Amino acid sequence: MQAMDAADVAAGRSSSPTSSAANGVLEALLVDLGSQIQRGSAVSSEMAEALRFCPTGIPALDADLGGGFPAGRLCEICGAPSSGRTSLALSLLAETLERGVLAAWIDLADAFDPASAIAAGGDLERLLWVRARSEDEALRSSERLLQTEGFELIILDLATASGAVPRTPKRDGRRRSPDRTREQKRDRPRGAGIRDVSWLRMARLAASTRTTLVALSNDSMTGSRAELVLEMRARQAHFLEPPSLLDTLETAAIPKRHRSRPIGRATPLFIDVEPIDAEPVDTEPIDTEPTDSERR
Amino acid sequence: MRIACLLVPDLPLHAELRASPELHGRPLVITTGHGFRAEVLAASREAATQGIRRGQTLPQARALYPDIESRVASPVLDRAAREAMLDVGLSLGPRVELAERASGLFLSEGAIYIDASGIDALHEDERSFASILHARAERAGIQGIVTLASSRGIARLAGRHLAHLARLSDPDSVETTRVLSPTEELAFLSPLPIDLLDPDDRSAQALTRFGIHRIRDLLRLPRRDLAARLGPGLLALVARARGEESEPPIAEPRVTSLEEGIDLEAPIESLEPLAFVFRGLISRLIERLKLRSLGCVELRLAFELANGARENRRIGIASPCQDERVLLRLLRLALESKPPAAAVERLTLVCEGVSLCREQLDFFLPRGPSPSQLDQTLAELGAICGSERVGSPEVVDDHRPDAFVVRPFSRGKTRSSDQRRPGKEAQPSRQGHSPRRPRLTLRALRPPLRAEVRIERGHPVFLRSAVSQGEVLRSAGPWRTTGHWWEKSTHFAIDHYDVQMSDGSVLRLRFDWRTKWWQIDGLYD
Repeated sequence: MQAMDAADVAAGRSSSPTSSAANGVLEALLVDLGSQIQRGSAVSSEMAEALRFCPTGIPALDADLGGGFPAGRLCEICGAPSSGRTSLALSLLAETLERGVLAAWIDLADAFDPASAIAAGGDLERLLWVRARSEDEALRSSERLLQTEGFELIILDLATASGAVPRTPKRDGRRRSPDRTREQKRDRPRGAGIRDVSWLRMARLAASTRTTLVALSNDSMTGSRAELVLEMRARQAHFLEPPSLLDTLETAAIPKRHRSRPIGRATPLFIDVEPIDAEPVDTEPIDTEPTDSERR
Repeated sequence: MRIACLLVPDLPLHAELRASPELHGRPLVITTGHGFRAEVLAASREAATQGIRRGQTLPQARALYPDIESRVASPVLDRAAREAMLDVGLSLGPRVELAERASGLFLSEGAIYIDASGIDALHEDERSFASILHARAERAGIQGIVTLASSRGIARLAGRHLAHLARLSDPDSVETTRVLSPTEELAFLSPLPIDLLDPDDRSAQALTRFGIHRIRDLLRLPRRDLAARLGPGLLALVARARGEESEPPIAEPRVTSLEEGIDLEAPIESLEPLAFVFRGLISRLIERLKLRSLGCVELRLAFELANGARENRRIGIASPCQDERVLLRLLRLALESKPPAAAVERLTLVCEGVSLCREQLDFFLPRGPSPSQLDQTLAELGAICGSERVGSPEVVDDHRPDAFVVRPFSRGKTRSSDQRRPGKEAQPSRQGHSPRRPRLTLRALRPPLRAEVRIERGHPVFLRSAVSQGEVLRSAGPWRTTGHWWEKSTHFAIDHYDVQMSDGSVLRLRFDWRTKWWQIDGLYD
């Protein structure tokens, strides 16, 4: 009987005094809430859109992607250094955090810059930053987070600073300095060792908890497991004169793989530079002394 | 006045059984120590049937029954059992008092008094109240006897009598609760032996000399003459037997730190058996939390190690929790991330409790992960990557480059999409969110990477480093950042340049005036 009443109320019918009373209460509640809620198809279409996509906040790109990054799917942003991968990922992150949900950034290279994230508009209180020390740690952290419902976006940052840069060949008979070896080890390409089955497992976990997992890499590594692979290509850095100032980075985002949209069409992106928090000066020398530890 | 008494006749024995339930049904004695002079403090029913009694030495007990299990009385277990009894009492009434420790025959006895006046309004009758109290005590691992009478003394005497009967009778027919109405109290007490009143040795000898063996004999004697011959101490016994202690129980201070501990028989080195021990501790704590309607918000661990050192740990819990699995998981992760430095001999677990209240969720905001699930995830991430490497980034108010701290992550306050940051308001787009031009992001290199730079006319023209090398096509800068000039150790003076390299990368370069080094701060990406 109660179920029937509820159905009647939902359908707007009032077949009994109980259901008409419930209807009255609901109507009064709707009046009280007033403009806080929207009715009808407007709500359903927007909610459906939000459920299906994680928008990047860049209208041109969102339009080309059909609404943004597919929600609850494995996606990838790849490209050479300075191609705008991280800027796009931060824009996506900021847009997600703006919705009041939680997000995580798994940082294999320890390259996440909190100041840049704030400039991008993210509210870092709801961002979980995991600084993994190895690929294994990054993968385990990613899988653990994917099993936790409530994180809408996880960025798995496997990109390095030197992915597209040819390295200096080692000269025969000369030992590398320990400093150089450490630096090169730090910047070796990441993610190549991640097995296909790991991506498959993460894609399934993402689907089960409706978490969008975005891998950030130098070269595409997710293979056929990703719903969307977006390649970033740097075009030009624009400088202003005078004063000498880096102004904009011009790049393009090209979908290399998309399960439900055409691929290959480049979307131009203009990425603005946040002014540096310092004063422009002449190169007058400063008289300073290094500390003992710095001298060593 | 109606007083309920929860009495545990052999508290050290029951405290041990509470911590080691596998010993139930086995001949067990609790002793004062390990040596030949160790005396038996309490013996289980199975041990008692072999003739083992309180006061015998351990070798005597072993002579009677060689396969007997023996444990040394543990103050930690004893204290935890008494606190658990208090928790049982507090689950049924606000005024609960821990009875003073008895002496002589009843040295190992533990008891609490609960003010049971007016419980008819809450319970069906006093008998059902006594049954509930007994059942809750059993849930907390306390095998006790519940009596209800009009004074503390009579309730305790009745409890002692039932305990005495329980030792003699078949375990299945043991009476564990007894409600004495005021009219039947005297009749109940009269035939009981004087020993139940726990007289001191001098009074006991004098009463035996006078041939007074039962309470009724004592009550028949004129009080004034009794005091004149045997001293005023005996008057207290008479008052107890008559039920003249009419003051209500004095409420104990409400402690929300629940403690359980254990003295390990042999030091434990590895984590697996330690986790097994923790399971028992947590299980008992959870039962006590449930009795008090509390949730755990913090666990404090104290280890006493075989090398004599002590270690303390603290595990914070985001929201009040009564879930045994969650607490165990958090404990295990904390131990895995930092195991004890040596074998553990004794451990104490303190659980800080707070009142439970339902979480009020926002109708319009996303729910997010449950607090216990988030706690587990954060603990696991901390165990994987190191707890200092997991958290929420925060930029600090400092002009030094890359100045930030990592704060512990919490769910924080979720914010609706219309409560956007000031200055971030924009025209709504097709999807209802603000369009923005992305900001160029720096991928930091930590620590900054050394580079070799050739300068011409004050500007870098060539750069060589592990991440980029080649001709500098364009450069901007320098911007100077200086600070802490008043302190030599922290003074910084840095010139920054933005450079575009011939290989396509755009870098932030720095020249440190202190070290005279060129370094790469990061890569614009």
